[in-house]
Amino acid sequence: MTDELVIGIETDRDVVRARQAGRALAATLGFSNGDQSVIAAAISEVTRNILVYARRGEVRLRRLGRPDRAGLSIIARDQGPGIADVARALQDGYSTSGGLGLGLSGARRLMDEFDIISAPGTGTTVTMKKWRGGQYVRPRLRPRPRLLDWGVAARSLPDEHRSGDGHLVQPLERGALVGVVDALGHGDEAADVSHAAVTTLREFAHEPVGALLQRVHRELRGTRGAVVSLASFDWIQNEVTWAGVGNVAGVVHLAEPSTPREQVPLVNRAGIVGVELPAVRPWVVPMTPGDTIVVATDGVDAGFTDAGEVDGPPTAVAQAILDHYARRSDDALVLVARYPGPPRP
Amino acid sequence: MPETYVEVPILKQGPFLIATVQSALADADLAHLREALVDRMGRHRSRGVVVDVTALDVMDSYAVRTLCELATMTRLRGAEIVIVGIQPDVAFSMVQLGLTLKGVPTALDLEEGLAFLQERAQCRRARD
Repeated sequence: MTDELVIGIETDRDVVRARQAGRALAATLGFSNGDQSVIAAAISEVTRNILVYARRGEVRLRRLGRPDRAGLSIIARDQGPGIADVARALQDGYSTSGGLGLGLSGARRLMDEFDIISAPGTGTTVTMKKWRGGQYVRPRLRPRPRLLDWGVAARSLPDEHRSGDGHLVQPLERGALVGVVDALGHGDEAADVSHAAVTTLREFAHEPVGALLQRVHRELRGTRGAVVSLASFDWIQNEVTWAGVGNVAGVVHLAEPSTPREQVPLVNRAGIVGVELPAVRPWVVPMTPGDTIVVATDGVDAGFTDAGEVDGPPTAVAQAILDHYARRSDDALVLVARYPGPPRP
Repeated sequence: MPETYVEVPILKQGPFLIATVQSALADADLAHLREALVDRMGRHRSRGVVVDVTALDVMDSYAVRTLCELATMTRLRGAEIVIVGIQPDVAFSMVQLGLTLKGVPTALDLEEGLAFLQERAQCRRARD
């Protein structure tokens, strides 16, 4: 038996295929009839959501190997519009499609573990696990749904069409990778370098940030290079790992300031990715729900780290910082990411 | 929407229709079944419909919504409906999902379903 099954979801027939494959896999793993139905129903709900909201996507079915017990993981992923309010989407009876509004909330109830990562523009990833012999009654400890609330604001030089600044927010199994790239120079050449860096970062987002920087370094060799900052959020450990090379500054605004500190600056090593990579020491900062990270390229005046008001919607905060601190002489980009808080009651 | 549907056989038995789901159904198949039943009901002037879901692999939120809609349409056409054959494991997953066939009569199997419809028809005759 293969360890992983990937099923593309494009029509309602694929929904049937996916849930039947899930049931079959569950059967070979020794799940009871009841659990097989539960797994099939959960797959049906999440894959239908892909069709309804994103039109296409995929689902990955994987056996979970643990010596003490067998399990099944289901990862449904799409590149659709994303969910603006995950906490609300998980409430019974909430639907934006005219359905019963029991799809996501129901699927969550069916599984032992349930996690959802989504943000407008980045698509949605739902990760579910079911353990054999798990309790039918409500599972003991379920990670609560997490959403990285983020926004970005950018502008390129008035006479350039393309910006050398780039960014990414890539959902991961237990967190998300946020990256900001500023390619040296301007115009098309810089834009191509920035695009290459972001593509590599997205593809290998699951790697540790230090290794990721080295990978981008190799990728960008022969170009003028770029400065890059990465922040990898971890929902389980409640922390963010920061690694940056060159002048892409970052700061964490703490939701519950411990006097006298309200902010933690995120420090980069000097260097240029693709040209001269310094020894990078990733740096771990504990996160509390509501903590907000602001990252900006050097087209934004360094004074942005003092911006006091970061409580609003991230996109609005990013735009306000850009409007206030951007220089006229360079491409400029501001990314604001807020560590998710507990779901609303 | 696919052009071809998985057809669910619909049998006419006296004043009743019996639709027996024989395989897994995609969303469009379910919607097609709903339309086909409402259509046949009118043509045969049926008094009642049994939908046998014994072979349905999953009863999820879409299936429940479609069956509830079918039930409402059936009643609006002056007929009765009964859903039969919900398997124990499917019932279990429905409870977990928070799904109920609210107000839609159910019966254990086809036999009980037909008995239910006959009873209803007799009530109706007595009332008339």
